[in-house]
Amino acid sequence: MNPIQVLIRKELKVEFRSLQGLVASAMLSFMILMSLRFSVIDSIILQNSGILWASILLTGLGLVTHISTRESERGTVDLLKLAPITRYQLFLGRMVGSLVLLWILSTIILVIYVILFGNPFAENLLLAYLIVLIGCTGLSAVGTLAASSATPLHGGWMITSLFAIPILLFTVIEAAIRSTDSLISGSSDFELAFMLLIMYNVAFVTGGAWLSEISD
Amino acid sequence: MIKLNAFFKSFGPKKVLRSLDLEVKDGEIVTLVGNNGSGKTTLLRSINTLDKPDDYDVAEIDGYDLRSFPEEIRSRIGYLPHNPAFYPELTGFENLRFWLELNSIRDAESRARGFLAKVGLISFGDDLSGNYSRGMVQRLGFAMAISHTPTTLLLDEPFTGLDSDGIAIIEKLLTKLRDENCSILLVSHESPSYSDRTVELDRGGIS
Repeated sequence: MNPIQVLIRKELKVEFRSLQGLVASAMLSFMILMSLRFSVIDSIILQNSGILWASILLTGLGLVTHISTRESERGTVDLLKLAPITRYQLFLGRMVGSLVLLWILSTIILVIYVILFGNPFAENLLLAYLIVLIGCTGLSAVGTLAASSATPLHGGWMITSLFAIPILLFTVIEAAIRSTDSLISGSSDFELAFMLLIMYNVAFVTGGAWLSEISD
Repeated sequence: MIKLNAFFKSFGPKKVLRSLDLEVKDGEIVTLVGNNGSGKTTLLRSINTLDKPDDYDVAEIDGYDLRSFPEEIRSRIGYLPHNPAFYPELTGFENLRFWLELNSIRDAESRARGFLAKVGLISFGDDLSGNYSRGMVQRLGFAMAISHTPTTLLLDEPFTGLDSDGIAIIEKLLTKLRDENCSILLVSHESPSYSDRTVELDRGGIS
């Protein structure tokens, strides 16, 4: 079996046996969406998809950081680094493992969002779901890279967020919000925003793999 | 075979290893002793590529340079840290199989069972490793260190937490590995009788 597949399988098995990261992140998403649902009234904010992405960004990044922190705290990160695999394989294995969990989390978030805020995407709901899944890729890449660099430090959780949020906000998240907003408004910006989202994801995944390799 | 010549490692201003020379031949067990904080663990972590050395003239495992062939080096080294770490959500068997698969070893399942049997853990193989005692963790760590048939073994206080049965099992396996030409560098406070040589790490160098 390919080492990347081995790492993904391990990540899923560890998470599904404990459910520590997924359940806590899903609960936090529910709290964030509930708070916004009942605190923001009659606002244009409710008609667009920014709330959905804010929830995915905050809790998704928390989930990715949790996965990395867990490896560092237990010392199992040394086990991974001792394996005779390249650093980019290690990065991709950890990133895709986190991505699969992020997809599950973002699916839950989208369902909660649709229940609480109605379905603003109407017949484009499946396309919106696809954008959510694609957007998670960049989030996982940046989050994994930031977390693996920051978690050995004191306050690594905070540093990961401080590093990753600005990068993600003005790239992946902005492109994703523009994509989903254009689905809601029916604007012609969709294709451009969607292409931009794909480009950011490709750049972050390849950049992350490259940085992992050269930083060793 | 481990070959180090003029090997340096520091952490910030603290120079831990200074122009260290060390050679462990094929089929040799060398015990490394030294006071707390003398750099024994740092030396093992630098050899297995977990830490980066500052500089060296020669640093080779079986003729492969540490910096130029890190993956090759890692495939040749078996490492038992002082506190072996595992995934507590996985069983002992699953942890070992994961390690073997990561090392692209075929028949990982049967091999994992075989090595669990060798270290006396076969009846606990399907228990979660998070429930293992200190001695069982040490046995699993040793199984992991030798399971991918390394040519070089780095063992950081391998007898910690082991009962007399555990010590006997590890000692038997160590002498068998030596007979199979494995180079073994063992960090311990006492030199075991079957060790071929004992070297002391003092002030960053071998004395």
